[in-house]
Amino acid sequence: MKNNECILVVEDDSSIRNFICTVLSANDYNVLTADSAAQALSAITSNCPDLVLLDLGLPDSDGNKLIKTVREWSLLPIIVVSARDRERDKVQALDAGADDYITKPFGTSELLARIRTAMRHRNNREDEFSIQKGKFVAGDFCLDFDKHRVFLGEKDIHLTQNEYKIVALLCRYSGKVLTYDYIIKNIWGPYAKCDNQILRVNMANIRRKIEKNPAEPKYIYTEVGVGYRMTERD
Amino acid sequence: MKNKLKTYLKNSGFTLTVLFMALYCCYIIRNIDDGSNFAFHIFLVAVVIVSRFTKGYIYGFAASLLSTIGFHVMVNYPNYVFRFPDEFLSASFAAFIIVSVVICEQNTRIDEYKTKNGELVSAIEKYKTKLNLLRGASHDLRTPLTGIMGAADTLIERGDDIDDKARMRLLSDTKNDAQWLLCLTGNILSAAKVEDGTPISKRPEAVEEVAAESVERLKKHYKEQNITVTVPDELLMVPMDFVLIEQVLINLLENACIHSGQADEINLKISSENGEAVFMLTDNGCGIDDEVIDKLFEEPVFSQRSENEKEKKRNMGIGLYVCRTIIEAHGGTISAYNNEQGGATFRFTLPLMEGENEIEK
Repeated sequence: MKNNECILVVEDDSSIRNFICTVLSANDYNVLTADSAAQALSAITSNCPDLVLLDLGLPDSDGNKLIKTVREWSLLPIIVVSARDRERDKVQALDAGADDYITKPFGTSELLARIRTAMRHRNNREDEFSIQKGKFVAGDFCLDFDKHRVFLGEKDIHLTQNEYKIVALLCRYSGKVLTYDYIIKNIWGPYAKCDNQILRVNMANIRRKIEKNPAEPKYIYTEVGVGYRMTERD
Repeated sequence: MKNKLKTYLKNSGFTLTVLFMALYCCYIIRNIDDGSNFAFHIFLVAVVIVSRFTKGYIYGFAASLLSTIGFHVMVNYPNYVFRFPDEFLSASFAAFIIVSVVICEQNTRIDEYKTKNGELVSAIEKYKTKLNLLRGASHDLRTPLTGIMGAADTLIERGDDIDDKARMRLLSDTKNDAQWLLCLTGNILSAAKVEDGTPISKRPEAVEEVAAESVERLKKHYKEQNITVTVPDELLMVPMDFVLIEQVLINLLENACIHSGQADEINLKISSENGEAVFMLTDNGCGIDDEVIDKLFEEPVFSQRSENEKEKKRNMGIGLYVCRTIIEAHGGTISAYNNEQGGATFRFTLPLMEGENEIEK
């Protein structure tokens, strides 16, 4: 498989950078590197990479600032790499416009999966602004965007209107983590109070309808402290 | 109130006893000390004793007053004539008072030092625990690091001479060592977060989400392990720092995976009882040795990882100690016991109610 896509790796630690570069090269991506925000910005403007892997803890500037700067003129997919127990950083990065995040330490398969998801979303970006059509299928789960119906195998699942909206939103961006804030603003409008309690309650109800065991979800995963992620479509 | 009265009575009794003894001494030595020359010294000693061994200024003052009278009585014995004001009387009274005040002041100072000393001692104790944690952690860090460095060295220097199978073994050992280091650093970070004294920040979290994420993270490394999670039908929200509670769940789950000796069933059951969320982790493994069961959570247990099965079971690292620290910081309790039908159960609780200000608005 030839990817030929160009990925910019922004990471100040040389051994992590080495390992990421090796993995990406082995998977036929073209790799550019930068070890500071300034270098990253110049690489993004001059080389137009297809995706950026961005470490949040850079020596010269905050990664979030870089995301905001880039987002002013580009929809270039950005995957944030962050340390564990820095949930707030992740949420900030996602709200600033990052597409996804991956937590250190991560495995290579996880990294590659995230990159593929982000690439796919970039390719579908134009569709996302139009009304979603067709079906979302993952395992037994099926959401029919045209009929506004959700099926589990043959079974028709009855969701309330808000529950359907949440599930449809997650399906549309399947594989990608959506922050609580983003979901709430999408479902309850831009002026909704950022109270994720009501979202949790809705999610608990959805899980009890579509998951066999709400504590072992197969479709909608929790990114605790950040948001929710729908499993990839088949 | 009762205690106050008790100290009052005790101090008064002490004062009167000492003064009476002083009086008695004066009376006895009258035989050899005709002009009562020693009476002043005896009463002065009495005032010193009372001031030193009672609390506050009042008893010293009372003792001075009574000593002055007693001294006066003794000097003029058997002619009890009181003349006020009397220079001699006033001078002795002043001497008694000065001595008593100086000593009482020293007393308060000594008390202050004592409390300060107590604080210092407990601070040193805490520091010692921390040092122990640090020392143990560094020790435990070094072992896997040695393995990793050795494997890397071997691969760099003699990589060509090694066959594929041996190379893969070195690499997978490296990965296991790194995995172990990751787990250890997670625990050290959690311990540092809880023990630095700042209150943990709690937010209401859905227990099913925290349980799901913990199990999912664990399954990355223990793919074959069978873990069943049961949560209440109603959504249960519990105020917690989810990163820390996740650490507890992962520690306990990992414990069950490693130390239970091939438990094929691990059950995590979460329920709500009497205003508490109860987490029960049950396995059907080999259970916990009786000799260690009481001390499981007491202090960080450090020992080198060992191939010896019996030793391995004992080495639970700092994991359980960290669990206890985290749960107690949440206002909950943690315990462990062996099941009648075999295997062990770890149980911890978290309070459901929390002060208003701590809950996210």
